[in-house]
Amino acid sequence: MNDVKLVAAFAENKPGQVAHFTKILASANINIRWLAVASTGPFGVMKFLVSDPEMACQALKHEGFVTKLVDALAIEVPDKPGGLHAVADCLASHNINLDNASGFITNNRAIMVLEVPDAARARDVLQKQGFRVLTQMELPV
Amino acid sequence: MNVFDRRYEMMPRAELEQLQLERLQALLVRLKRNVRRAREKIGDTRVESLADLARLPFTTPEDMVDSFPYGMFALPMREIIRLHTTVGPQGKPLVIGHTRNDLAQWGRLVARQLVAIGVTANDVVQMCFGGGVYGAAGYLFGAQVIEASVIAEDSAHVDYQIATLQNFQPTVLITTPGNALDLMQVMEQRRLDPQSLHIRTVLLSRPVDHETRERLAAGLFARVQCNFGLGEILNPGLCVECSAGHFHVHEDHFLAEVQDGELVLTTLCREALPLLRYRTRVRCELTREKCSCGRSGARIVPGERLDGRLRVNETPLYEGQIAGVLARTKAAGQPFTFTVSERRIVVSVEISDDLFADAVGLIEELTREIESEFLARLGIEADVRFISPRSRAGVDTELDADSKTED
Ligand SMILES: [Zn+2]
Repeated sequence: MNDVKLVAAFAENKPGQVAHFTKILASANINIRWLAVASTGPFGVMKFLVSDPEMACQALKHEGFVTKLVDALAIEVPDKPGGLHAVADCLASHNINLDNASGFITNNRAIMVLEVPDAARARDVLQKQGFRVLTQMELPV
Repeated sequence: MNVFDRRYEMMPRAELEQLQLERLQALLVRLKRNVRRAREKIGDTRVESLADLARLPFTTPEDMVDSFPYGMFALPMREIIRLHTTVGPQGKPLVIGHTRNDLAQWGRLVARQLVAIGVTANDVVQMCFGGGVYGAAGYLFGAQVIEASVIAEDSAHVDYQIATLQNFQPTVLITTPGNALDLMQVMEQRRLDPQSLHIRTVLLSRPVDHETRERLAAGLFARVQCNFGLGEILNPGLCVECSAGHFHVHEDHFLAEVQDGELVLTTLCREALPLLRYRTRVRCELTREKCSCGRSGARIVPGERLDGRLRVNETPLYEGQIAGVLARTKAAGQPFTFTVSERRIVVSVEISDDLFADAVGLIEELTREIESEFLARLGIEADVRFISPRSRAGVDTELDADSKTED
């Protein structure tokens, strides 16, 4: 099992925060594949899908940011109508809640990033249905 | 001249000091006979003149906390007919007992203030303290003494307060500065003409600066006067603000001194809970210069608190209480900073790895939880926000490749 890890970082809601993070990661030579900002007023949680999550965490911590690794699933879905819906449908039919979901497209591949309460079980369910669940290594560069 | 108790309020200085001396000697007898703590501290000290006061021991707010609730009462509970509470150091509760005589005196002392601002038996008095009847108790006793008509209603909501002002047409409004400002603002928003009301005088529960007083006077179209009191001594009823704008201590009841800039008061007549040389923790200037109003009681100018007591929306607050609220939440022990405005506090709590690990996505929820804890435990509105530790360290202004912070 090699689930994907997201780097979650606590961010105050003020100008330049995203730039802070990206600058730190860039100088640590870490590629950011995807990022999401969940903001609730005075603060937000920023989540990154990066080439090396452990190192990204360390780099951010070193600069005084509070971070944590979050389990997630990265699923490659066909880049065609209904592709995303099929994944959501599959999880719903197994009573699995989505804490968070979003996606990105890179090199003509559509990747869905899911946060679910029980990643291992969701992975099983999806794989049984024939979905391609990516490992950290399989993520597109 | 609007003087309720001419004999005492305008008593010639020499006569007043003789009265104080006699009352002080009687007080010492009562204390030594009835209060163990006082007996031990006073010992054999004899008082032959007011100058001997300096040889008597102080009583501190901490003494009152130590003896909570009834340790300093000078009479058995059978004689005590009322227990009022007030706030002591670090927000700890204090109990102030009153006998039947104490309550009667309280009313007469507050009546001095009401008469001084022109309240008579013909007036209708509205009191808005928004917290039930007890914040207004002293004013109620005072109004009762001069037989003014008191509206027995204390609406927390400004809408009802305005409705009461319109329906009952009170001529005197007694309220907190915060509430008076709210009232004024709502009336301005609704374009209600203050002249359509009948308020002649507004008595505020605590002193405000000159500018606020002027604003309220214009906004409510009334004369604005202020009270100054202390929960442990008497509030209201400690002093009277005269027409010349000075606070005169009721010196026939309270012996006032200033020690190291701090107001020190002795209750000369209180039966249930007499206090000897009580350190009020309020900075104060005191003068016994003559006043144009003719009152002989010492004039005081109260200043800032000396014990770090803050005020948020008319509620006393100490920094330790903020930590105390946080201690009951998941954010226990986290470093924090805070700022206080008139109405609320803003508390910035440092996030930790543990908190964040526990609550990614639930931080918002935790924030609400802590805010409701502030309201429930301290009765104040708080804006709680989490900040990065780096933010407090002051390194968040510019991310500089050279300025590394080690953790
Ligand atoms: Zn005067």
